[in-house]
Amino acid sequence: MSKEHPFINKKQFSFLGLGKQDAIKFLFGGNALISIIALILITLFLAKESIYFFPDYQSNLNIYRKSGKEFADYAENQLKYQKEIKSLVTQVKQYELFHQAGVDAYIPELFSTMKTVAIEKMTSELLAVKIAKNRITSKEIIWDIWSEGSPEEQAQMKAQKAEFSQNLIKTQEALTAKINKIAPSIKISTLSPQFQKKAYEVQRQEPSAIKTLQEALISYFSNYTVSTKTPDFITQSSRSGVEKRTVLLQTPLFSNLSQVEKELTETYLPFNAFVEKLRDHALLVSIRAESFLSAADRKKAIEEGIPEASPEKKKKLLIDLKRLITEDQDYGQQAEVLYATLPEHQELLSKMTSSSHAIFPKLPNINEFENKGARRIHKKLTKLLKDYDAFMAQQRSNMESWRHDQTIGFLKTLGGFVFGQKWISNSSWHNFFGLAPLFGGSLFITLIAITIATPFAVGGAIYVNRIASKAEQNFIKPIIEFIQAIPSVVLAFLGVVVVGQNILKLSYIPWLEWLPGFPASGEQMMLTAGVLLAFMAIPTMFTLAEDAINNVPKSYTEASLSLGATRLQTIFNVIIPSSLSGVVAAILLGFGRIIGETMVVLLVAGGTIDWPTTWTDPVHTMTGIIAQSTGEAAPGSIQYRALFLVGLFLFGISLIINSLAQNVIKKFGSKH
Amino acid sequence: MQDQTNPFATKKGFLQTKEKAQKFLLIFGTYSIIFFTLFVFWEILSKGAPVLYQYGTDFITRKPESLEVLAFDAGDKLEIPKKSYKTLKTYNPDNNSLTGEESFDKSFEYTTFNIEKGSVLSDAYLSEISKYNKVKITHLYRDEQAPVVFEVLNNTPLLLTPALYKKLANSSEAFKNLSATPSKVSTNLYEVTFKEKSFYLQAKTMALLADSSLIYKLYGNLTDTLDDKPNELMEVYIPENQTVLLTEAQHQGYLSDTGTGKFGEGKLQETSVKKIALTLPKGSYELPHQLFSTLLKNHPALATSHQHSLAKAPLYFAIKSNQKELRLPNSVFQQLKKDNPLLKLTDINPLTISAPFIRFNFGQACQIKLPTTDMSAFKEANEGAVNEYGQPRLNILNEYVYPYSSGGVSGPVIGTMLLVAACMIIALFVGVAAAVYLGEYAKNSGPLISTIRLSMMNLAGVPSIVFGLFGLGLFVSVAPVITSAPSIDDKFKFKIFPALVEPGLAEIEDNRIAMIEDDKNPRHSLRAAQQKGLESFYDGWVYLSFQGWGNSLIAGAFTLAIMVLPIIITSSEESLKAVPKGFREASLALGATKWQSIRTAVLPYATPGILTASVLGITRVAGETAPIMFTAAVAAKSDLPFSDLSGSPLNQFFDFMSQSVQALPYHIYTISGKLPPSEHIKPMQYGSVLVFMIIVMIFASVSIWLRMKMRGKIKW
Repeated sequence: MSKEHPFINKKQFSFLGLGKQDAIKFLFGGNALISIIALILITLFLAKESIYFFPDYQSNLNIYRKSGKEFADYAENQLKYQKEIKSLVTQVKQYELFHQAGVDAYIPELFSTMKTVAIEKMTSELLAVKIAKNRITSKEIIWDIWSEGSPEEQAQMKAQKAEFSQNLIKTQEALTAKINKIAPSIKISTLSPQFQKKAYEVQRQEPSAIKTLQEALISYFSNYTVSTKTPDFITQSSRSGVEKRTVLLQTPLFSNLSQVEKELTETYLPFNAFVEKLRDHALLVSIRAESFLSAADRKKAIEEGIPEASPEKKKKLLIDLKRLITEDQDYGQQAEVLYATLPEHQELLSKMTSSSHAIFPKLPNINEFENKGARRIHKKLTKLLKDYDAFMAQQRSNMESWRHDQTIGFLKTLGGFVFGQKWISNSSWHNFFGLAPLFGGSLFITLIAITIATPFAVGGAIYVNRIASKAEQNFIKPIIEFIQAIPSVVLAFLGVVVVGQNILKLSYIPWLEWLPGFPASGEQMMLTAGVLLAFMAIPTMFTLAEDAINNVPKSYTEASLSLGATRLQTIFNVIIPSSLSGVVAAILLGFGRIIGETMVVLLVAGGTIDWPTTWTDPVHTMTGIIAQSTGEAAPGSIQYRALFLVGLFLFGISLIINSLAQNVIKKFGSKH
Repeated sequence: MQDQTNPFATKKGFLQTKEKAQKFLLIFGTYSIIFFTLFVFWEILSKGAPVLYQYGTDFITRKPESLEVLAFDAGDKLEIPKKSYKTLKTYNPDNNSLTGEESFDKSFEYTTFNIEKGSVLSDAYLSEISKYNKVKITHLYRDEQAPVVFEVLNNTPLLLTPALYKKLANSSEAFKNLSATPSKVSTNLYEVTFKEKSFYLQAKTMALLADSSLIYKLYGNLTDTLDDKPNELMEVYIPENQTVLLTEAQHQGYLSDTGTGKFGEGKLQETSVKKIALTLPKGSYELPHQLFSTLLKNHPALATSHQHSLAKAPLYFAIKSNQKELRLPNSVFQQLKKDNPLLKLTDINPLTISAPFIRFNFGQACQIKLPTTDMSAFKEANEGAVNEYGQPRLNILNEYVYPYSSGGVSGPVIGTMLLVAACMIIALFVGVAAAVYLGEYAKNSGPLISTIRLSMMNLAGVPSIVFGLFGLGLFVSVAPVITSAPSIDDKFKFKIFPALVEPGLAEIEDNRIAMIEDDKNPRHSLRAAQQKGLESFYDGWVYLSFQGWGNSLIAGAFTLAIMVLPIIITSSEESLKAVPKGFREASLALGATKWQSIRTAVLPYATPGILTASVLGITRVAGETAPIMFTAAVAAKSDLPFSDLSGSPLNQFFDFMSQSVQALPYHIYTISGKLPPSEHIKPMQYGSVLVFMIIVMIFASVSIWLRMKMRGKIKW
């Protein structure tokens, strides 16, 4: 028998008074702290890059002001406004013209596009035809000689001729078989996007048009070796299209529009030249300013390099040192040039506006247009005309009050980032980093997605939890869980190849035309991204909403049912109100998930950096711009820092939404 | 009063229709989700499965390649390696002009040999040897003076400076024997006077004038402008009156400039230089490497055939191989032997190797599609072959190349697996440890614990692209590295201990390491090395350098691990909680320590739950694109991650972890988002997506199945 007590072990290892057990505990504890550390590090590293953005951007904006680019841009805005009016007039004219001329206008174009698609699909067959033809033409001279030669030669000629033409016929047969096979597959969806729009337009006006075109393709290629003449009705429609348009252009409406278009162009020509002059001056001053700023860094690098350089190199470096720009220019003197242009600007501007005012009344009334697109643009145009004077006066007063030496402070810089309407990098004029259009894109896409997803997710949760049988639950729930596992890049891919096309097709259905923004202008738009993101958010929202509904105490249901309410009345009047906090939290968390999603918006949202006006506009988003530009931006550049700042902003949004959701649950959730 | 009617019966009809409509809407909503999900799966399966069926296992085992589409005239007796023939059949299933296939063995002449110690070779020849043999080559040192042989293809007149001629004649009998005639060559310089003024010159002129001694102040960025618009006018300010000598080219450029404010033509100043004229006849010559490269640099027009590198001198090397002897194709071997006089060879024997080939005819002109590797094998096999009329057998009419449109997804699949594995190792270690602390050690409340829980909750909601930025900021750019060759840039670093081994020659050259010898002014030496374009330095110390891990597997794995951590911790903790308290109490009562009871009585029973958590984590990690975009993934990579590793096992491991990888989600993004859509890339898109979905869905099903099993299990 051992004397030792079985539970009293030998003296344990210890260090600084901490035993092995404590060491293990602290090891685990340390790992538990990692999530806090990670959160702190994320904040730190995003902030580290983005903090430097503001001084950089401030100096960038100050150059914009000091150099007079801001001054020039006010005049440029006026010019752009004028040009926009003119281009809208042109668009109105084009839309209406092609609408009134009918589908004929598009037929030849469509046919040649479809032909290109067919040719791509039949390269082998066409190549064979081409070579067979070449063989015949290359032998024709010899055949000519042989045809007057000896009988043997004549026989040989006949044999060869027969063989070659037989060969040609064979290739034609192969071609005919192929075109018959593939013609039905050349549909609208296989055309390139810019033609799809026209194709849908044609199909809408004449449902059988595509089928006719397919038949035309077959007849064109079935006769390919004999003649490659474009089918008659195509040339006919092309000719009649041109004729119709020529006739139409003579009508009062269009001749009036053309006249307005022409006169409008003339109004801004002198003003255009003036703006060019301003811009050239400002650009020069800003280039000088930037060169002066960058010279300081170069100077340091050259001076450090001199002691180690070889004598030859040293000589070169000394010359380089002398070439550095050491004196900043006199901005006041440069700005004087701009201030001096104000009278000239006033004169040109009033000339432009007065002649424009003479032209505007000549524009036809909106009721004279039949086409929906033309009407939509006409509305835009009317709005522009209404604001015309105010806008011009606004920009003019901006120019008058502009002072080159008013430096831009920190708050203005911050405002310039948050509310800035432009995000432009690598520009030859000036780089801007304004968050507003990106935030707008993200926000609107998220709203669209949430609007679509909420009814489906909440409805699904109600159905599965309260109405569906056990077997149905076991079937539906795993499928919805599977959605969560679909990688976002796969959905983005489907958006590119399938969903975008189908939504575009949908937007061309005649009885849906009353919807705003329909018909859409391209596959890539907010709606496409919204639909895919809604699908993506459904599992998260479904699970949370179902949990919330499931947590409603049984007694509530029983009480309601015993009062005589039906099952659905119980659901809508008792269960939903009492699980509302959970449903709201589900929507909030879904919102957080969608606004942070990257791949779908990167591939299908369109990538146009502009504030959206309708739900079928292409946009760019905060996540999208980070994914797209971070790889290209040089570390330490202002663009790189701006992207990190956008990241920090996104991070902040996600934290706020998360805590909001937690609060909702905490505050209203624990009633039961 | 209308009390007579039954209050429950009045609106029954209306109520029923209303409820029916409500119920219908609910059913419709639910089943639209199901329908859309099935549509997504069906779309991928129906378009992806035919692709996988067509390409077979090749799709998994090959790497992504470009597709070459080749159109050519009918031809007979075309040859192709048997392996590529199979690919030809898969890529052109309905090509019916292919006839008369017969297989045969094509023989290639090789030479076998061994290399003795003390041999000297140039780099290109060494890479030829390692292309045909499995060898390990250690670079010893380079010798500028080692003789090399080269062949001059035409009789060429040369104008040499007397110094160079003397050197050449001293080191080569052949040059000494040539008849040399002294002559004078004049160069034109132009004296131009510039006055203090501001004017405009074209960017391309400024690039020329940069080499002169003219002092000017140029506004704008010359290199950027030169790249985009070389004809753009730039503002130049001459600060003082000065007279500068311009060369012929500079003067010419200056005169032809379209800018404003020039000062007229310069004065011609003729200077003449003594030169030696000679004609170098066609033939072979032997020269020390240094002289050879000087000669070629001064006379770029000299047409020669050789594979010597001009920048790098020939190399003394040690060669190690498992093979008994080395082998090379005859032609390559002859060139190798001829060009390197200091190469000592033994055991030279001829060897004939035959490879299976297929011979076939194309009955009519057609077009075939093949991946680049197979297409070049096909072209190489038929190169120079002519038919009975003297026409080339393979008469190519036109060819197109479509990037990423053939091959398979081996690189991306392996890259994704590596990323997932590395990430899960990190995440599971940290996650399970954290869960054990939260579940077993920590008290249920307290500020620390609630902070941890709160931060976990918040971490779970952070957008994945933000994790990507974070990974770029931390792991890629500033994570610490212990190395004897730290980055030369101004990154925070400090010495730890003296280095034991100097980097080898190959490493110095590949990693562009500056060897800092003297300690007098290391800052200046570093600056000088940086100007030479070197990237890292070695000064006898091992550093802890905060230079970041670069775009690498390990950086991506850490980024993903932090992203997936909340999932792992939450579900691990849940499964720890599911182990009944009695287990712990019984264990503790038996005298086990806390750790012993956790290890023996809790963790084993929680393992299935932790496993479920990890499978769930894998599903999430494998599908993410945004976090790896700037931390680990590259679009194109020629080798699989395992190849091209050398050095000690530890070194190999570090090299392995610090390389960037291809990843399946990033690959899908590249082929569907970055490339123009084409008919040929579609199969690749759908195939890759299907493979990706299969991988992800297997993990998802396993996790769902495991969870269902856990739920159904008897509760303790």
